[in-house]
Amino acid sequence: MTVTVDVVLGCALGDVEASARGLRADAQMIAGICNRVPGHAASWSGEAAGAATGRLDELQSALSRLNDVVSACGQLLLAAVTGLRPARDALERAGRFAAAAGMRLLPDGRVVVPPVDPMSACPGDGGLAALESERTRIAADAGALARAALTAAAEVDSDAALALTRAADGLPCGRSNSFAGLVPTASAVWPGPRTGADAIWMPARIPWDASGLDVAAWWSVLPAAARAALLADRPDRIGTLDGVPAAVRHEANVAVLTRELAAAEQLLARLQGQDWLPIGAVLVAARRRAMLLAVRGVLLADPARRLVTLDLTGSGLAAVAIGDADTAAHVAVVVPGLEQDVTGDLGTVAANAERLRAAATGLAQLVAPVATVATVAWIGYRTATFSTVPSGRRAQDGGRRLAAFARGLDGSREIERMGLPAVPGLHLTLVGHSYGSVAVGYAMRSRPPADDVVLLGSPGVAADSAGELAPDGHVYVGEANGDAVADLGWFGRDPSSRGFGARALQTDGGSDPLTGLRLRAAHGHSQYFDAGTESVRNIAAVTIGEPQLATYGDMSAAGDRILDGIDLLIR
Amino acid sequence: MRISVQPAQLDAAAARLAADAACLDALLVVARLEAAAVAVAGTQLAATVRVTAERLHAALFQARLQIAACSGALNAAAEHYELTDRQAMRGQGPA
Repeated sequence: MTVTVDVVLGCALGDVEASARGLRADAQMIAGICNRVPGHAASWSGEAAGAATGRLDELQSALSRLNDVVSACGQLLLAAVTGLRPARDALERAGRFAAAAGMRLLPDGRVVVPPVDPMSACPGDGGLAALESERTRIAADAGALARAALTAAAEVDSDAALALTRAADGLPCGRSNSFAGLVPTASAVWPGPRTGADAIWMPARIPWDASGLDVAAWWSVLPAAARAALLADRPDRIGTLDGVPAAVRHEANVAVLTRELAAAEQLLARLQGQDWLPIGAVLVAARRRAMLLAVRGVLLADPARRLVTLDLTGSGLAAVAIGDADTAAHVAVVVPGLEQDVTGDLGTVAANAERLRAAATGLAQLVAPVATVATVAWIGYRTATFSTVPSGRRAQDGGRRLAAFARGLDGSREIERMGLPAVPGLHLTLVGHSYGSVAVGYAMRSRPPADDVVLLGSPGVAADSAGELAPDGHVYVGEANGDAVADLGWFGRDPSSRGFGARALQTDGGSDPLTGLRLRAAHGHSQYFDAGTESVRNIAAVTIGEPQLATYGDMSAAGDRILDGIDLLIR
Repeated sequence: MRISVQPAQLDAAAARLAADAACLDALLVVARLEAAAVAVAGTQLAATVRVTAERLHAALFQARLQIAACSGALNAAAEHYELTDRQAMRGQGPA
């Protein structure tokens, strides 16, 4: 039996709830009758009394079984309602969202997209292509939510039917004689501690391998009780699951951080209390504690910071959002480069992200006061060390992870917007510094939903032109005077070379065209995010989606001119 | 064998059982399940709820029969004890 959109939308869950509550009242009534049974033969003895007591015992046993089954029916139906209600609400939401764009949901959750009327395309907004792209996006969002809702509803249906079959086991057969042909196949019920009726509304599995949009849709159709249970049971998984809202990830990661910090302290105390000090184990435990303390320190520096990724394996991975990444109109993800790790560098990367956010917020207030900005300090990949840097493999892995992170942010936002149209769409900028720009380059090859890309002090990207990374005009480079790394071209073409096609952000200082204030120059490889620099101000302009406010320079620094000359000779 | 019960007590027990049987009759278990099945029409759950309703209907009927049998037996015992009590009072034998 396939659960379709019509079936779920047709469920009168209020009626089921009323029936379930009535069944629980009936069960109480049966329990009362059952409890009175032994009293009927009280203070009666003799042979006949013995026989009567035997009959009454049988009656009590039958009533007790009835009470169990009727009570279970009530509980299971209520649990089914708990699981089906968010799925039905999500289908309604997806249907409304699709209908508003002239689309409709098919019974299997797919979205029918009628052809675009060319007359309805507004040339100023990018024309027909932009309209089609927007419609494709709407269809994808509505389809993802509908699919998640149908999957959840099918799981609840199957699990509830199976549980009911088991609950009624042993009852006398009715007219249909048995459950033959009706017994559903058990879905892989979540192997957590939830049992009995509660297992019905728990998801069958956590979708590790799904896209950010599908994860966001999955999360949104879970009942509140299931979300709370998952957060309590598996915070380590939820905290790193791209597509789950940043606020939820923060809650999960802080729980993990608190728990693991306490465990690390205990372990260290125990190791240090031993007669013979196990140096190796102490060092490992101390390193872990240092990492956890570093993360905690970064969070404590500002209550607005949110721990959106925490992975404690090896040297650890962490990402800290500054501002509300779930609702901000503009989000920039700052990706650091070589030799950056959580323990030693999360604070520095967070400070860079904080300065970018301050600059972007300040600029936004001048041109679009309602626009909000969040930035993310993202050490979500194992950055290269000097020994691993030649391979570029870590940048590839980083790119894959970064793309998934971007899809998660965007997917979560899109699903959220279907219910709350007041939430702005996400304008996402990926800002890669040094080796981080290599990771950003790899990320963009899989076309994550990033609107703009900023490559700072880049030692090369695995692309021949800006067009391979993002649509024309959306790739920006920054190269400060004296930044030797930016001319290395180790990992592919130098994005600041003339023919690459990126737009060169000016970094050598000048006056702010909007305010007239003096902007400082960034020097060398590490000042791109310094407060008051032309560099951070220009990255901020891109971050808030106002690149026309940025200042643009000559394409190349001295190193690039030499390399361009060589390039020309070779060609 | 000595009887340690008054026939009136057995009658009262039989009456209480009859009242419980009436309560059982008044339960809306089956109707509620059928309403739930209609409310989730088209699902596996609906089909399973229907079968469960039938089985509960049968189980309730059996319980009702058991109550009726117990109630009847208590009434019969009460009658029997009343009779033997009267016979004993008339000197026709021990109760």
